[in-house]
Amino acid sequence: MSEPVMESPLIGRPHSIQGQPADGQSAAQSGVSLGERPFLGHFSLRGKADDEALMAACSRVFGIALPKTPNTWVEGEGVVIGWMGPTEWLVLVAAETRHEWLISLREALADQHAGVVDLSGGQTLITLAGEHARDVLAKGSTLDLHPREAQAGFCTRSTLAKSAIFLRVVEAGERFEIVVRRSFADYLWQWLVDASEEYGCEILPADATLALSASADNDFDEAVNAS
Amino acid sequence: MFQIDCPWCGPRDQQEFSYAGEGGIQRPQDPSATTDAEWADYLFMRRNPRGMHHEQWRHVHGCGQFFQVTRHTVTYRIESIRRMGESAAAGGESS
Ligand SMILES: [Zn+2]
Repeated sequence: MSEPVMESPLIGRPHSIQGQPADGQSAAQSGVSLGERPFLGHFSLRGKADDEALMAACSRVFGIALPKTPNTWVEGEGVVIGWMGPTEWLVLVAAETRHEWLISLREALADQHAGVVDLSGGQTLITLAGEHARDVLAKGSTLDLHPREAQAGFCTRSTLAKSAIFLRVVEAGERFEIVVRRSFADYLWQWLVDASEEYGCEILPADATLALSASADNDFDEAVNAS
Repeated sequence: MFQIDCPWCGPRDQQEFSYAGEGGIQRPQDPSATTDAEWADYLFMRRNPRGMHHEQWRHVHGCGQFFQVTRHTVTYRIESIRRMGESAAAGGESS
């Protein structure tokens, strides 16, 4: 028997894997760039925010406290944690660290009244950036994503083009991440490509790393420092 | 557009929410001591007022929480919104 291989739900969209700009457009011309961060670790963490022992255990394992403010995400070393509800958080980690994180989480929370569920195979993450990214989202969302309302650090569950999503604002008004269930991913991807077309849409190569402000491959640091 | 002010997330479009039935219905303390009529009333009978209605809603495409809403069924105007366990009279304080 051959080894099982992970497959992105967007595997049927070859341009998303090969990273060729749609219609031969270059990045300079495009108002929107779309990409996938496949194979990330997605964990649902359930527990009570007023359970001090649990919060302390989480802080130890993540190196950062769980966000208790509704609709906010925080970032630790190699991990992004988003508030999903008063008893639920979404934990995102890079693909290659997924297994280790799962083991250390389960060990750290073994004696706690908490649940950790690995959702990694069931959802994927789509990135949307550019000066018209917000216009694309406005076509299928009722959220006010203007920087004055949704700053970097905002996250929420919502709907986009009738799909249930988790949205994270990485850079206010400019860079967004959308977590979507696997079975909706292909539909939502096609919807996003279609909705982006009028602004010029660049398709980025798939990138199985986590978007962290500390990582060298993005300009998030500058954006944070400037604000 | 009809918005509902989630007690956790703030104002969101109505499409993120689902109606979760009439609010404030209490399970009989001692089910074995209730009559069939009382039990049927608890299970099935619901008010259908023309006017103020005490309801439960859930932010199903958001924080997932259930909460209480007092809404006018004719004008749709929402009189008050409270988390579960908060009483209307207390105006948001825990009961
Ligand atoms: Zn909510």
